[in-house]
Amino acid sequence: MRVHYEGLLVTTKYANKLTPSTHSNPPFTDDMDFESFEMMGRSQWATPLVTYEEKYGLLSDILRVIRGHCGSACDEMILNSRMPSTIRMPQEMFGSDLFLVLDVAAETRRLWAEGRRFISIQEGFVRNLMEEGENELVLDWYRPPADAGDRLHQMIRGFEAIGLKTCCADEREVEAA
Amino acid sequence: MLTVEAVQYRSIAKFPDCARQGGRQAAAAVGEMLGVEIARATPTIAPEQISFNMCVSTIMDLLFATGWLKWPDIVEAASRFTDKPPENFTASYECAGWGFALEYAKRRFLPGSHIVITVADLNVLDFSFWRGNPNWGNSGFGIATVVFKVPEDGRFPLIARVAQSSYGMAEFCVDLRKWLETSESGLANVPFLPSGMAEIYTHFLKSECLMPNLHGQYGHCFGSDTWVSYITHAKSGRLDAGRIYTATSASLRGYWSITDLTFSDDCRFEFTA
Repeated sequence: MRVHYEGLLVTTKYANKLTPSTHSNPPFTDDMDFESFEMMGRSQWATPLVTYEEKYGLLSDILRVIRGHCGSACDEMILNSRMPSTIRMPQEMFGSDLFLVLDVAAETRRLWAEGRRFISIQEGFVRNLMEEGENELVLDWYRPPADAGDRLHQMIRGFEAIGLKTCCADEREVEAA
Repeated sequence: MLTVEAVQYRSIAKFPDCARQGGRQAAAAVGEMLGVEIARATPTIAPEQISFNMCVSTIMDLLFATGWLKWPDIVEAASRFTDKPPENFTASYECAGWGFALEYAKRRFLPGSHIVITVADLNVLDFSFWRGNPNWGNSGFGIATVVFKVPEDGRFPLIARVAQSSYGMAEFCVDLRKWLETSESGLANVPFLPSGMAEIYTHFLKSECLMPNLHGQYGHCFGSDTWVSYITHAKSGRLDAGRIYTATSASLRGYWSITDLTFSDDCRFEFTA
């Protein structure tokens, strides 16, 4: 059994206020740089709602909510690695209970096979028009405790306080294992 | 502590032009390179003897963040060349990635098994920014493949840290100085940096404790600096199997890793240009 949550970031940190994006591409110095970025470009994109700095602030808040409500009932968390960053990751994104990795599904299989109680976190918060993502947050708590439903509702209140709208929250079978 | 059984580096100064045909073609090429390197580094190790197999990088992140490059495509391509393809990838910890990956592996407690780490920094789309810039001088691109044997008690000393202040390299040097005060090693590699920047090492550390800064020879090879250092040391006949060495890596952003290692008597050292 796993507890499943899906949310969507629906607001900027400072709603109705202009905020500098702080987005900076690496400098382009030759034709190939322009061509390469054109190759990676997207025809459709979600609205960027966070700057680089705000995204780390948001992730820190999310991790704080999860740690606060899951704490001792969770051995480890895995979060999808979405770089590049133009600034250092905050302290909340380090620790022996967390690892950032590209393929969360592959790591889920590892931790499930190990018998761990863990949470997988997949975020798609978009910082610029080239990034993949829909501003979503998907969370799965594997081997949750008996009171996981109550803890999830407390987490949801925490997520809503930082701008996430809940799309789905339920319990599911673990089919991936 | 960990024993290194194979350490090899394949320099790839220019990525094949096929990458410009699209993400899938690029993934096929990256996967082939990783698969070939892992197969070459692990000829006598069966897949079930490898408990942890991770690819880390500093410079390849943007290709994944845009969705242009897909990790499963790379794994699929690598699987055509090895039955031990990398299980996962992280670029979050930059040049210190191999240390953070080892820290994550250490949590798993894997006594007596093998760990394979590939450090892949390939300038797939030949961005001029990555070829070199004032932050670290010229770059060196390639893949380092390292095969570790975990001791039978499953324990090995390791730190993987993030700086507390804006002086990340200084904090790394202080941490390394403390490490060397208690370690039996007495000799550590250093990240390859331009000579002016590398003065920070001798400001904080005794020069006799440091292996050469090979920036002039190879450029900055990101997380592979560590392994290029040891390959060069071995090829010049200065590496003693059985002796303890300190392996380090540090990113300019303020992440670093330190561990002590030994090298097996029959350790494979290879540098392929």
